Amino acid sequence: MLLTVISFAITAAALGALCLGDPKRRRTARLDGAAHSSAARRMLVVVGLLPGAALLLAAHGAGFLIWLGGSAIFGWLLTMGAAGRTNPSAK
Amino acid sequence: MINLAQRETKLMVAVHGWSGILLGLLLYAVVVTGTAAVFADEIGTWSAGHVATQSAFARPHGKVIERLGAQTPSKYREAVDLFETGDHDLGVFFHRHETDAAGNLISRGVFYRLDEASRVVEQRPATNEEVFGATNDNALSSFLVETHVRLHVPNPWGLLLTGILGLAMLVAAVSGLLIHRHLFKDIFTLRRAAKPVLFNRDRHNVAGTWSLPFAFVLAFTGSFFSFYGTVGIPIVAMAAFGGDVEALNETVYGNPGKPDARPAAMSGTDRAFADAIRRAGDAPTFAAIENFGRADAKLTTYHPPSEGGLAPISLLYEAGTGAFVQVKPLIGQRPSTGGTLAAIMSPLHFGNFAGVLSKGVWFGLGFAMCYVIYTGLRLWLVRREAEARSLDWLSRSVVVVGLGLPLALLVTAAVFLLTKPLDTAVYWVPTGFVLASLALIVAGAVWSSAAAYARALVLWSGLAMLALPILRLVTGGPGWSTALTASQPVIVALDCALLLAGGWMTWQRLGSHLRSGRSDRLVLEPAE
Repeated sequence: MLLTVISFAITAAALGALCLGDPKRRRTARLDGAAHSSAARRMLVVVGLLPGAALLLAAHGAGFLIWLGGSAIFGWLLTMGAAGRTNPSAK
Repeated sequence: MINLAQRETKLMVAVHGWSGILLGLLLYAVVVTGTAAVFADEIGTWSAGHVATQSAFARPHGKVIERLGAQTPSKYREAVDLFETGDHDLGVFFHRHETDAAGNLISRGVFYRLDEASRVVEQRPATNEEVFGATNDNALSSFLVETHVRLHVPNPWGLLLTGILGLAMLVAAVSGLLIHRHLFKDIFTLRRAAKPVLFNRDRHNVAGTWSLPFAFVLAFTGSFFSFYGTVGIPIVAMAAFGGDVEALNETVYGNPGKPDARPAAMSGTDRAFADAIRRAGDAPTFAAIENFGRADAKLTTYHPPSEGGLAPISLLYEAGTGAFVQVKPLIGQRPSTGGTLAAIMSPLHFGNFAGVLSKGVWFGLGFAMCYVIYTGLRLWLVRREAEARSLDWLSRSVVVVGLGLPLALLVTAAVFLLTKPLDTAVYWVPTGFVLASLALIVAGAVWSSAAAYARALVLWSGLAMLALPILRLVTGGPGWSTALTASQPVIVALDCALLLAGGWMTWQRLGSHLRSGRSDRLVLEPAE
């Protein structure tokens, strides 16, 4: 359980960073500041996926599925939440 | 990024859109009820006010089961099913396998219910359909599961229908994957302030992309369950057993060992259950005794997966002595890849492999699927806004099903709470659902507009959620202190979830109503 929670927390942090610096999101929301470079995004993707790989290697099937499902829901809600804070004048 | 030729993309868009629009509303009904049914056990506990927490299998019922076996007609000792019923009572179903007039394999025998002190509180002749069907206690959770599994359409057509809907979901997932050119580029892009078509496309794409792996998993496993008994087993039985389904079951699921019809005492069940709980780390959810009262009697216990595992556990015992025989694969006598794959279908579909945590994740994924279907239907309609008048009926249908169905289910829960004390819940739960649905359909047809009706449904759903915990208490359900004292947090947790969700939805609607009222006043100020 603890391993799953830690894995999810790492992936959630990586997803948060990816979302903040996502070039298309920043461009469409007309946000100031630079987006992440491709290299930075690739690194964050690897960091986000590593916990899942660790759970698979540890043969923790239940933990892997909870991690994958939890990350999917978190990513979706994160995108919805981040959109709520984007520039409403971009109509 | 997936590149298709323009013609192929157009074809895929058409397949995606039309498969969704033709079967989307039915699929939505299946997914909504499936999402709720993830917590069917917890909803059963909450709605019936069950506070007992000790498993019936952890209590010594062995002597009583042996006595019941002696008094039950010998023809019904072919097999015994043991399972929890009511508030952790033990259901004991002595039966034999028969083929009914329609050629269906059924179980017929005598059903007993034992309370926590092993007293027989119910005894009646029954078939498997009656034993495992809805009771006054579980009418609500049973209704949810039945709606999800077969939409209340008789067998085998209901299962075939939901199986086809699962395949439609697979088609939609594959075609959606193929037509979405920028799957990962758009994964964080949701333009709330964009034009309606773009906004609806974004929210459909974002939810669909994040939940895509699970759309495959849930659709495939759902179809597997629907077609397993209706198509798979008859075909295999026809091909390899001359159509004899019972022979197939015996070969695939039967126990090893030579037949031995000599009479024997069945005094090993308590010992076997204690050992099974120790080995599996959890009480069984179901158990079965084969050849009760004979020297070759075997007891099989079925448990949830162990910590970190996915496959449920089955253990085999000698029923007479309680001696452990082996860990039993779901299929066949020895572990196999096919057996393991078949065994993990259930946890993959129901999300019940790691208690409330995995169920919570599966509930969230089910909710995401509902959102994908609903926004997909909305997108299809928004894209055809020019034909709005001719599609108004469809727009209203989407609102009636998309937002009216959850409200109808909430009303059904209220009906259960009101009728359970009168012992009439089995009749009134489906009736209440039908009446609520009819009322919501009629209201949807005559309401000023689909959008206004959608706003009203959200508000009513919020109010219904707020009312349910109060209704539960008023109709005699246990209070929070009683539930917590009995170490039953499920009741409190579901009450809190309803109050929070209901409060949020009500606030969203009333808050926006007040805000629009305030802005109207502000606009009027200069004229005044």
